[in-house]
Amino acid sequence: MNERYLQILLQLVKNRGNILRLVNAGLEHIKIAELIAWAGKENLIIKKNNSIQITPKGKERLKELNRINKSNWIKPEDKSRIEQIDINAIFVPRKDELDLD
Amino acid sequence: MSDENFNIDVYGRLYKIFNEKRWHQNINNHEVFAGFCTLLNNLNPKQRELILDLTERYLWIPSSDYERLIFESLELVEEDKLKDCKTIFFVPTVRPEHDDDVKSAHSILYLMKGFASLNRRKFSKIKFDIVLKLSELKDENFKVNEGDLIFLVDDFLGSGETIKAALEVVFSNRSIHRNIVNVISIAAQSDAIKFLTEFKIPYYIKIIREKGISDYYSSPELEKNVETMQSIEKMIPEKGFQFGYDGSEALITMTRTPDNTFPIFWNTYKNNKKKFRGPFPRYNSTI
Repeated sequence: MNERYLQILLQLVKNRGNILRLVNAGLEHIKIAELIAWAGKENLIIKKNNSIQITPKGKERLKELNRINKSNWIKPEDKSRIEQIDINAIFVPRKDELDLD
Repeated sequence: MSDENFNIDVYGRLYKIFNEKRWHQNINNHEVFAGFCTLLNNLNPKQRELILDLTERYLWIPSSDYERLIFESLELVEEDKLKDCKTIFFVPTVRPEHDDDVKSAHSILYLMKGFASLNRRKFSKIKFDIVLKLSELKDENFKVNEGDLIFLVDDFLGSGETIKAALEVVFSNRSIHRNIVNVISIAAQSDAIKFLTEFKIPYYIKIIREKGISDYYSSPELEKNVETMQSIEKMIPEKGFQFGYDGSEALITMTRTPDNTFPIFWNTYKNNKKKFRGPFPRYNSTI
């Protein structure tokens, strides 16, 4: 089991995140299903009231994975990402946006 | 926040639908599944709910199922009709302007002839003839004899327009009497059935489909879902297929997806200036 994928899965089950994060991380759609089934079998996630939730064992495992995988100590703040501008584009910031202190 | 996302529960529901329908066995199922994931990710929760609801009733018939379905459609033909039959002419159901194109009807013609020949119990003593082009029937030299039957063949009948246009060509030959003309197909929308019933044309069709929204929901859910589908279809740049060709509201994919199916399942759509292909693309173009 790829621990990086498992870490993302447990995170997004816990935070109700977008499942396509796993696709962006390089996992095929169909492999996601296998990962979910495996995590269910290992009692890391459980289906409750029509909703898949993380178990206490899953939370423990996630903590452990977060400790090992240091790249997640500081998560990228995706909401602040902006689209890359063209190399020839001239960017003139608004005066009130400049921080020259 | 959570419900806005294409989260694990939505993913699980889609996966369950695929499992229950055994779509995982179909060729291209990975691409189709990925197409559904992308689509669901581009929708808001209300739109997503409607698409999942429609997907539960969606019919995906791979060509590997054609053999069985053609056999079953042929089984619907009454023994009585065949009692004095000498020759059956299988004719493709196409619009006259498409007479030179290869359409899905042509692939069915060959299978139909093959299966009818195999079914010796029912079709013994009957000769089968394939008429490759509908226009051949217009020819004065095309004569039918006593005991001959004509079967217009297709895999899917949508709004009924194509079968209507084909029948007009058939009946333009004065020697063809309407009581020898029949229609055989794997599947059809109820609109096509209404037309055939009205014109008293016998039909042998295994799968008959109702309209996906109008014939399924009742008020006030109906109005709500019509509005939701309209909001989904706003993402499709190509106009003219709202709720499927001629408003057929079909939920079906065969070897190819007919344009009678709701276009969000097969057309290119746009979200945040990005283009995406529906889960069952009809067009070969790259995005």
